[in-house]
Amino acid sequence: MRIMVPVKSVAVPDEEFELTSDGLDIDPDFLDFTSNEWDPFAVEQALQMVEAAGGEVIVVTVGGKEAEEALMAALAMGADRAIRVDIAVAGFDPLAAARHLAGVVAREAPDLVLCGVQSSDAAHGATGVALAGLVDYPHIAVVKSIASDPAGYLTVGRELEGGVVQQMEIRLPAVLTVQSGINDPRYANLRAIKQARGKPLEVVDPASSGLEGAAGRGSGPRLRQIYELKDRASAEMIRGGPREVAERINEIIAEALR
Amino acid sequence: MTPVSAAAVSTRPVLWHFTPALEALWYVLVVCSVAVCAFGFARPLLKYRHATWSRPWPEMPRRVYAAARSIGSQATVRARHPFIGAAHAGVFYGFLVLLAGTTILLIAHDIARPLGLDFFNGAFYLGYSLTLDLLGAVFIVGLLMFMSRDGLGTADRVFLWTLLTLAVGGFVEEGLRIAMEEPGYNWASPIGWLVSLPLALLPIGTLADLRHGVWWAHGLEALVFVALIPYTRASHMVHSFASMVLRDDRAEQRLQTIPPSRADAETGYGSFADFELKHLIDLDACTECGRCDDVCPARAVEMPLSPRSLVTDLRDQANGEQHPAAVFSRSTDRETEIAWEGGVAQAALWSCTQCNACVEVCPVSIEQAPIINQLRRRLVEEGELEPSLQSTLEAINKSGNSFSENRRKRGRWTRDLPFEVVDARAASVDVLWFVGDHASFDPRIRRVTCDLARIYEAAGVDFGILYEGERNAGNDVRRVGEEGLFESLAEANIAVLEECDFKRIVTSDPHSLNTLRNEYGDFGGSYEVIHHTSLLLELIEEGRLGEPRRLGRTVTYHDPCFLGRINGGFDAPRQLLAAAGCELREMPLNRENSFCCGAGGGRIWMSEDYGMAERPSESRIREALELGDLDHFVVSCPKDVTMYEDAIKTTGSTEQISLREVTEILVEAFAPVLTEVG
Repeated sequence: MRIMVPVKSVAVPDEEFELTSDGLDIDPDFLDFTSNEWDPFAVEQALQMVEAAGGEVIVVTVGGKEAEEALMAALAMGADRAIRVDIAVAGFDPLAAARHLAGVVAREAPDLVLCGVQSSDAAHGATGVALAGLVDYPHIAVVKSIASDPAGYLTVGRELEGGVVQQMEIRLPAVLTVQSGINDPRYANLRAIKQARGKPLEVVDPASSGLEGAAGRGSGPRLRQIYELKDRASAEMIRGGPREVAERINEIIAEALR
Repeated sequence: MTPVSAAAVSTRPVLWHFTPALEALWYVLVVCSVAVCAFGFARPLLKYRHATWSRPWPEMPRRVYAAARSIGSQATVRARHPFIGAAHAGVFYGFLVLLAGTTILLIAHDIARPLGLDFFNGAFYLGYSLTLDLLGAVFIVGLLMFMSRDGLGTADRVFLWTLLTLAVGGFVEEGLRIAMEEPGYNWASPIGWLVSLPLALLPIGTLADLRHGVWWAHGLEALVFVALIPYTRASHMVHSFASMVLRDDRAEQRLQTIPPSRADAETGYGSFADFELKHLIDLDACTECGRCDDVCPARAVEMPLSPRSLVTDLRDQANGEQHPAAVFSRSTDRETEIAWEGGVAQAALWSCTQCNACVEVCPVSIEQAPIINQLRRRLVEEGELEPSLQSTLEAINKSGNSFSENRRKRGRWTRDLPFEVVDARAASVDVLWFVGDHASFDPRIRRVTCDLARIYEAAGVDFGILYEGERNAGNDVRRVGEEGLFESLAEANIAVLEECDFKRIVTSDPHSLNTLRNEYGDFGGSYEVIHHTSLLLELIEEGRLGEPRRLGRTVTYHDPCFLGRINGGFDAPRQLLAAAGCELREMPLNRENSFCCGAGGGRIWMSEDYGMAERPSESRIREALELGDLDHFVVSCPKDVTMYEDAIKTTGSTEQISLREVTEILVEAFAPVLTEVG
């Protein structure tokens, strides 16, 4: 079984940050990059399925050098090889990312694509679903359990509101977007992280590789502005021992009643 | 042979009234017994021969001498257990002398005499006889003392009864001989003579029959005992000696690096092929005395760890079947994987706080905590660790601290000070202050950190910190078993430290102190590292803080494992308390016997409590409250501030006692000086 897991290095802003001059992004100086919160669950799921059935796990990302952080984390967990489509895609443009991923799917022809439900920075929840549409794979979103069936089917569980579980069957090849909590992602120890540097990581230039990329074509919507919520500092942290805390609460009540 | 009567020359007959055939039979049996014994001791060599070996041969004479001295003094057995110490000393010296006596007899009768040297008589014989009689009595007294103890297992009982019947049998045989021969120098055989008094009432024929019967019973029992030494409790005479010879004096302070030969292998212990020789011998050396269990903080709060069971469980696995039968099984397969289910439980390993109380107390130098660490290394390698620990380790790898804070915020506590703290990466300093995670990021402990900075400033200490250049020192990361992450932390810290100009490192964190002082050397960073209590004492003794006010408080003091037991830093904190005019009341568990707060070994990052009845820190607060009226529970470790402040709350003791870090006591005592620096 060949499983492809698209992953993303997400940006985490510092507590204090500044915007770029055009007001369309956070100044990269104030960003740290880390693995998308949902991705380790997708990688773990892929590893478990391949460990049971044999095959390989390919992790793929779209972006510049900083995007390799997520690939390295997945390789350290045990993925077999990695591909980075070397093109900067605006974080707000999930369809553009999906088009590049579709090119990789066309080349690698995986039996299953496992994505995280969404990215923790941009939170569109669209890339995986869009990818399924582009490559014409069936898909199920927000998956909470996966069991293998014989003869190329998977039985997939989804948790709905009010404690209802929906059980679905899907034929391979397919795209699933995986909810966090579906498994316990394994710990990638430092030795594994170091060894991951020796695993194959292919950097693909979308212009020359013949991948069905889609330069210039975006999702449609355009980003106009990002800005900081002004009233985010309205919470007061009360510190100190029980006595100080109680005194401060009393003061606040007294002010409110005045 | 003719019967020997009260001869002019004082001696005693050997192999009395033996026909040549009987004598031959006896020697055949002796050879068989020794052969079975030798086989039993040789067999573990199959298990040992491929294990990694890290003790240079030239050290061996010194090591053997040190072990022999330690055993000769019986100090490790006596420590904290005077009664058992006395009992063991009796059995040990008694056994040693009786063994020596038998050996001398063998030499005299079978080597010297055939060569025409007959020295087994006269003054030599009388001295020999008296010594053996007296030490035989000491031997019996020691055995009876052991037998008076509760909680003996079957194996203990069999061992003790065997020794007792051997000793008593020897005296009965002696008594029979004296009753028959009336040799006339009873002072040289006081016990034998006493035994002979009632026996002398028997008719001479009965005595002769008994003399033969008892001789054979005694002789055969002795041969069976010798043959079975390697397969029973008695094996500790050799195995424990071996483990003491290979003792690592720094076992508590620094864990082993991964040897270059195993760089590509999986880390830690997953099968017995991975064990280093010392640890394999440790398993066989255990006498199951249970002292490690008695001092284990995890066990005290009913967590599923028994260091003794861990060792004996591993031993049984390493030897295949249960110990005595193991000789007949093909159990030297070193590739045997350590069984987790039904064998060593992962819960036991994760319950350990790596406080090393077990290593400290073990009379035969077994390294329980380092073995646990090696087993943990493999679990980490295989990703078998609980989620909260996993996310902390990931945070440490990513941000360099266990609080998952941005590394740029490490020096932010200095903003609460009215003066600048020097960046030791930019300017040379006398003292480089390695602050540590808790002292940098925990809001409660940051107050202590600021107090400490104000004291240093007031005393004119030329100090600086590394700001965002500092990372978690890695002591507890290493004790969790994440050796790779520890290596990377150590290398990163050393790289920063190498660029700085300083004379010595001070830290308020005993965990950082331990690894900086004892473990960074293996990675190329050798530094003089002191605890802040030592520096504070220096400042006071040099008069750099003026005269303290005497606070007149009554306090108790908790020794942190990594400052006290593991690094011997017992006195400076106590002297500081005395200087501040505090009366110190010691808890029953103090100094090297101190009881871990429960935070060590990465336990502070784990949420799984494995069914603990209460936290070790809560048990410790109760211990302090038993001392009567106290003002403060004083600590000298940042983690202890958190652990014990919580424990005081959860035990509902906030009215009776409050927590102080030593620094906070000094801040009060030196308040006038400190107001000058703000």
